[in-house]
Amino acid sequence: MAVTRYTKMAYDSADDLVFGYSKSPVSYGFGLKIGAGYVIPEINYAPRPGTEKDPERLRKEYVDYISKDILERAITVGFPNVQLETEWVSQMNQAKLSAPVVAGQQEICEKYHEEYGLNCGTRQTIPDQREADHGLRPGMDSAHSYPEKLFECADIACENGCNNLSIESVGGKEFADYAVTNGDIVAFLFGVGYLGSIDMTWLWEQLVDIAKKNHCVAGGDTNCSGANVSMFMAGGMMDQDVQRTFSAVTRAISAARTLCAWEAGAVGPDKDCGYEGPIVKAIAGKPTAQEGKNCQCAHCDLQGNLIAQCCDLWSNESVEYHPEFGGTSVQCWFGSIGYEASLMNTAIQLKQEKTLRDMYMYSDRYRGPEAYILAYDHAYEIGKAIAEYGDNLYLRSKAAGMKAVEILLKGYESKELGLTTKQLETLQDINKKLSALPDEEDKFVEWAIKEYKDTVPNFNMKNYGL
Amino acid sequence: MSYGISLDIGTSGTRGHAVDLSDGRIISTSVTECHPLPGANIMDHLTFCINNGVDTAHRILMDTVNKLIATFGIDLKEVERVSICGNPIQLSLFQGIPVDDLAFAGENAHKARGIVDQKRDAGVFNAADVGLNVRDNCELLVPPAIRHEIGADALAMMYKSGFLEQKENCLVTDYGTNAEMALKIGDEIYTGSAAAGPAMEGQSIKYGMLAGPGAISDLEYDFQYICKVLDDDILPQNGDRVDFGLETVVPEGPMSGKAKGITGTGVIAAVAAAMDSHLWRKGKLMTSDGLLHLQDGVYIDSHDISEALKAIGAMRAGHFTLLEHAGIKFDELDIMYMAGASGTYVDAVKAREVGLLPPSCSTIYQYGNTSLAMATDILKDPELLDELQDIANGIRANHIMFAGDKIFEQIYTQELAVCDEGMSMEMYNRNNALAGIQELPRPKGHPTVHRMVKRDIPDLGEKGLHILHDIGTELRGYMDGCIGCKKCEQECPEHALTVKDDNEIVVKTKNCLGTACYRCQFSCPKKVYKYDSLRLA
Amino acid sequence: MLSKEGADFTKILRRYDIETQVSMTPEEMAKKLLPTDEVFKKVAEEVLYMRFKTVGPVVMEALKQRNPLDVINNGLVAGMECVAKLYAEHVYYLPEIMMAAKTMEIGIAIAEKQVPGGRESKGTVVMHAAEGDPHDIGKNIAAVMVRSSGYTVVDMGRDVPIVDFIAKVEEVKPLFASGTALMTTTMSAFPAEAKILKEKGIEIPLMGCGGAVNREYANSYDLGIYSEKAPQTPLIAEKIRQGYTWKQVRDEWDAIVGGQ
Repeated sequence: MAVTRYTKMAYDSADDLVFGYSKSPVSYGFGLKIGAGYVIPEINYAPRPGTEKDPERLRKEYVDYISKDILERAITVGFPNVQLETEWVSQMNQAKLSAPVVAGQQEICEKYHEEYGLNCGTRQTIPDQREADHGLRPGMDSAHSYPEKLFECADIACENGCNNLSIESVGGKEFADYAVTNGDIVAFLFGVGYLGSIDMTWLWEQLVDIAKKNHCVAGGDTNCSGANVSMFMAGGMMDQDVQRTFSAVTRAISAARTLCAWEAGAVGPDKDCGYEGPIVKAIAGKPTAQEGKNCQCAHCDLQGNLIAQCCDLWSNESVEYHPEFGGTSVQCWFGSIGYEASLMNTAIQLKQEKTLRDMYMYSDRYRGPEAYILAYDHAYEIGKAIAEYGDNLYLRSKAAGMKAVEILLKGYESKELGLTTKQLETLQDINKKLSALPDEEDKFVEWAIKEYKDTVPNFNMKNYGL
Repeated sequence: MSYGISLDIGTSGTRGHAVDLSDGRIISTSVTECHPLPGANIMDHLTFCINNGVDTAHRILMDTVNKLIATFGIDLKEVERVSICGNPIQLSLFQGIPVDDLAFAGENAHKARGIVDQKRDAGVFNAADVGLNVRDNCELLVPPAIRHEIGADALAMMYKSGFLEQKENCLVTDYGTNAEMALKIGDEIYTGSAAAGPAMEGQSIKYGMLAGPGAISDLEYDFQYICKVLDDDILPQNGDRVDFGLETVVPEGPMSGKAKGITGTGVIAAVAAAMDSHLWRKGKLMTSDGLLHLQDGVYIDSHDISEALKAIGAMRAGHFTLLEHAGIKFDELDIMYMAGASGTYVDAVKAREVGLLPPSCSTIYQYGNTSLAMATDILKDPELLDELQDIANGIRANHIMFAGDKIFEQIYTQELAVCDEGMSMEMYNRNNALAGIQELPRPKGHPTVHRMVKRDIPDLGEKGLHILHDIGTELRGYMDGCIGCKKCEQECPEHALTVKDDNEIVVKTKNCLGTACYRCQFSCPKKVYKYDSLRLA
Repeated sequence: MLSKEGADFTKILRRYDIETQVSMTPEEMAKKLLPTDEVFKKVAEEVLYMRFKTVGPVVMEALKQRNPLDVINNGLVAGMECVAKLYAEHVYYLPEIMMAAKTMEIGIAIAEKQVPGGRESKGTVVMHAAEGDPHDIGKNIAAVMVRSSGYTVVDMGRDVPIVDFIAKVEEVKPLFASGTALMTTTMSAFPAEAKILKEKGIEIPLMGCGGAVNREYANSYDLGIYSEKAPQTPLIAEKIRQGYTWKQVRDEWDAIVGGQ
């Protein structure tokens, strides 16, 4: 599969970005159509601890309890569509644990589709357990063979009937960890924007082949291991471990990386936890899954409404299976995302989708720097910066970061966006560092290797085939 | 010059080579578009023979064969020998041998009707005697049937594919209108023959056509589907990109705008895609208009899928029945040989997906037209006939007559429920379990596919391929009491019938559906129309 | 886009971060916190301002005038204490802590060489991320903080098998051990480990940390104690060093992490 870099925007204007519609919709599973004029709830869940000890217990947990509860609730409430997302627990890298789960979910989806005509299907998100210190490429990790296991997991998922193959890949994580804890934006740019992009491209060229061979749709990826670490450490209003201007810029850079899965042939939707979704959707026109206000079971973020602005799937992130007053946890949270999707679809049917989109967006636009750059007008601008240098992984990551800085500074200066002194200082420092970077990829890479060789733990160019 | 002609007399058409006997080179290849006899399968042909006489059927067939050999571009006077291969019924029709021993099964039926079993051993005859337009004393070489019901075509399929040498359990099937199949377990061979109908050849499908320019021959999965359309060299090229779920058709490749119809392999691909997209529910296509749109207006409808599934179901029931008779489970069967044009061109993985071969098969060999290949071998080396007779005598064959077989009946009933009523496979297995029949597993993993030939007829010869479209045989007759209302003409679903000004009825045999239809006869308001009274013009 | 004219966004959200921010600069705060002795102050400032490239020469210089243990405790460690206070006041943030700690460690490594018999550690701590868990950023941060508080840290990395962890504890006999888990499916390793330790008569506190673990869970098995955030771990460690059992840590947990 040839890699085709995006150098043009799929959308002519930011105003065309709206939930439920994508330029290139995708169909799969049992009647699911993603981005084809409506928003679909995507429910994600985790088995109770201990169930992973025994294959039959785990299958039962995922299929007979979790999946059945969800599908049953869809019928109860009258939801026409649902996507199940199974994020594999680490033990599922063994076929005896994962294969029955995937096959079982496929079977029960088929049953509900046959019986009720419910449109449904599964996204299987396989684990990326690769470790930079042991090696990210096959043949390097003699301790656990994690790179090999990753591809085995993809085979297991696809061969047993997965509808959408996805992953949260970890390429560049050793840099992201260092960059976030040390406030080093250039390390993030090099590790995630450059090396991470190389890793994701390499990885997805192969995942796309595996998916295609098995007639499974290759969905997408996320920078969960980088920009989300940054965002969660930046935390809420009073958390100060990482400045939110810093996390906002890492988010912009991460978009240049997340795009790589699609450039390597995946067709979307990408992963819900990739908050960079609005940016990559604006560039590629492929559908995006998002999570926000209805994922409070998993985490709290500062753009719970805004991030729904142009989603195609609306997710709850993840909830552990347990009883609640209103049913099981998966049923309750499915109700929550299902009704939200229903509201968005009502807006579409009443031709008010742009109004609702703007209401979502304004709700959080000024809540913090990350929400501010992700507002669809700004997300579009960052997308344009990436596409302008689309052919060069370094320059486009840098352009994304610089554009985010520019948007934030402009927002601050125009008094639209408030920043604390420290947030502003951090932003100015980032601006200084990014502006000082060279325009040539070779020069930058050569410098970065020297700079980080001894400071970033587990840095090894062989991990990236270099 | 001395020439030879090899012929494969198939249920859906005749194919032949002209061969230079001095060096064995193939000079040219000709094929007919369909069989000249009314009807679409072997039962229709047999019924026609019983009702209209073997002699009529024989003359219709020879008329076509003579037209075919005239297209070889060789001087027929210099043809030294002719060799043939095909199933017992077609070979009998060719030779003009009675077929009532094949039309009725069972000793009692034979006794009651005074039917004598025909010997169908290898032999050398005079080609001119059977009505072939060649010089007198031109030899006609006929290969042996293995046993009474197991014809030379089955021998060809076993002999040419490597099936006979295989030590592991294996299955071979000649994917045609009449699907010959054989299962080998140790030294024992179990054979059968399933009347799959013409869907496999793209016939009886609304937009069905034979492989030729503009035929959609496959659908390639690329997260959506890319139509593969045959170009002028009969090679598949990209056409449009279609998404059955989203119901979109977008131009993609050089063959966009150039599709005219769909081949049998294309139909299989479409069935597989409909299943894969879970759009086939309760016996109906679940798209908004109930159609599966391919490119350029070509589409597949629910009836087409149902027809294809019936053909597939017949083959699957056949395979299933052989396994049950042999007493082995699906997971004990790993190796599959596929023969015939459809067996050559169909995407074996998709074919396995839809059920054309057992789901357990993980090693698949695809051969071409083994019948024509063996006929050509015999033509080049007539002594091969003796060797083949020895092989035929040595095969320990157990033939299972599917018609009347309890197991076949049980499974085929399930198959029909699946394609007509949309019964679930879960129910299919549950019902079979009640009847004490093993479960049909789902296909797993990725089979290794060996494509042994590039085309079903690998060598077309220097003069290439000629397709005989206009067979032109007609049945004619006047009906006593006919009022010329033309009701029969209007009723004919294939537009095969015309009523002339003087009320003469003319039926184009190749289009006529024959005994499976008879709508002309049923529609006659005066009840004077007698199909069987029509005679060859 | 809808017009926002006339919209009052304070009815929608409140920026507590801006409203409550401390206006003091590090320099202003540091004045009150740094040692008065000029030599120590110079060393402490290196740590406070995270000058990891120049801390070496400054420490070398100080060692000519003061004894090495004092340079460590009154200079480098004192500087780190300033950093901790600034962090508590939201003047400094995590990246500053990490870099200051790195600076301090460079300084200590130099000074230590001149301490006869080596510098005494406050104790050994074994840290690991649970079996099957690849997330270890929280553990790495905590390790830096514990190390910079004067403890010897044995960092076993991530995805550590239970048997390896037990063997390591038996080998190095730590003051306490900690485990990090970000996944609910991996945190079950902690009670399993605690059970084995208890059976072997090793009654050290086993700290459970990480996104998946909450206080209730960490307190649900014998030996278990909780640390919510990395900066709390040195505070808890100090109490354990003073002789607190895991039960006492649990009982007084709120007071301990509250800095009392």
